[in-house]
Amino acid sequence: MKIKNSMAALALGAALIMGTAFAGSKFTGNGSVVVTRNADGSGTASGYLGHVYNAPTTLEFIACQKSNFGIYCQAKSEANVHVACSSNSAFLANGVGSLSADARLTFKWDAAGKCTNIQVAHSSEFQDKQG
Amino acid sequence: MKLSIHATRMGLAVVAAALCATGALAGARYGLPSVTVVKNADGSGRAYGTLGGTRNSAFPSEKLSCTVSRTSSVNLAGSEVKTTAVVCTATDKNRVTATCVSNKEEIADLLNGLSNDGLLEFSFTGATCMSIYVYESSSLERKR
Amino acid sequence: MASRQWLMPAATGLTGLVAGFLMGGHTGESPSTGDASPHVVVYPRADSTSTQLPASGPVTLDDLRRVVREELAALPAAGAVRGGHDVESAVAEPTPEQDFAADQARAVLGSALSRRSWTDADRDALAPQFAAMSPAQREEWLQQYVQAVNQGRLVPESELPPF
Repeated sequence: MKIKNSMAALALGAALIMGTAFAGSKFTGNGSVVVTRNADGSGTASGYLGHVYNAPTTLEFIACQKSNFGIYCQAKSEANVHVACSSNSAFLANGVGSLSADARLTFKWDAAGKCTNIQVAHSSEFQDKQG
Repeated sequence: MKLSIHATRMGLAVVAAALCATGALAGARYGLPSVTVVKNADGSGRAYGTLGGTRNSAFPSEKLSCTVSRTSSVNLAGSEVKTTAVVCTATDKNRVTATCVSNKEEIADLLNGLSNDGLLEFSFTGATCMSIYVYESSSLERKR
Repeated sequence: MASRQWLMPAATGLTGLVAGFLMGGHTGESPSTGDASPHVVVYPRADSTSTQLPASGPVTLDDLRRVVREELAALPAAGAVRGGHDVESAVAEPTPEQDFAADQARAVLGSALSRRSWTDADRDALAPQFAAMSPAQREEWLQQYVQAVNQGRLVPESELPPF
């Protein structure tokens, strides 16, 4: 009985350790999507794509799209607050183009819902999507 | 009785370990059904899908891709001549295929930064690519 | 010749060199018109009323400084270059086809607002209209859509962007 319990614990422990990196600084926050809405309708959303993908949450996501018709960014927090912005700025589209699965994305919008800022951060500290 | 309880505990432990290793107990996933091809009677249409979801698809016929080719040469006057060629193609699980081409630089530029988990959509009229959409999200599945 | 006899020609030559230096750019060449770098142009141009040579006497350094200041002031303002163009520019009046597409797109959004729900079916209905609208119409439609989402009046049911 004891041996079987030990074996089960060992199997669980080994699996949990699997994939863990052993060197380099890591971002230790949860990386969740954070949405801030101001009274005038403007706001900010940010999140870490890899951390959100790997997190045991079910609703949150953060994303941006670029196309012939401009950019569209959206985010939903785990509290189910959904926000979005759009812009036809080619300048901002360049920022969207640098997005990757392990980046941190922050976008801001004005009261009219127009994207005013796109920030994409890449860091060795950020998780990549796993699984 | 005791044997079955222990067996159950072991089984649960192994299952939990496996789930943790695969990341199945993880964040929101965008459930796009791999590749979608829409063709209209007038020859227009669009196709879209996620690169990761398509590669991971259970249907071997599904595929989705865009290729950008840029060529540079020097003409007799000594000036650089630049040509751009974009080809996008998609095949859904029913083997319905859509293909389009473009020689526009702005179409090619839209594909910059498309990553392995991106959602790609292209619209076409006849054989000409009219629009490209590249969407990157925390919820898109990556290639396995 | 004796060394003293070289002095006069040498002094004369040196004086000529200095005078030529001070006279500067009186070369008869026209200033380059497309160049934004601050060339010092001393040659009086027909369209320049302020660039005047002194009535008499050699050109002084102060004259050169004055001319440089005048020419720099006459250059186009910095930054007055065409900036990066946006993805689309909204200038022309919409065509009847664009107006029709915009009406259809507004109807799709109106229907979604009445249900307080934006679905993939709405997206499919919007797609051909969105491409057919004018840039200004697209911008207006998106503003309505985004504000509705941000105010909670419209709930996107899937993650797919509206366009």
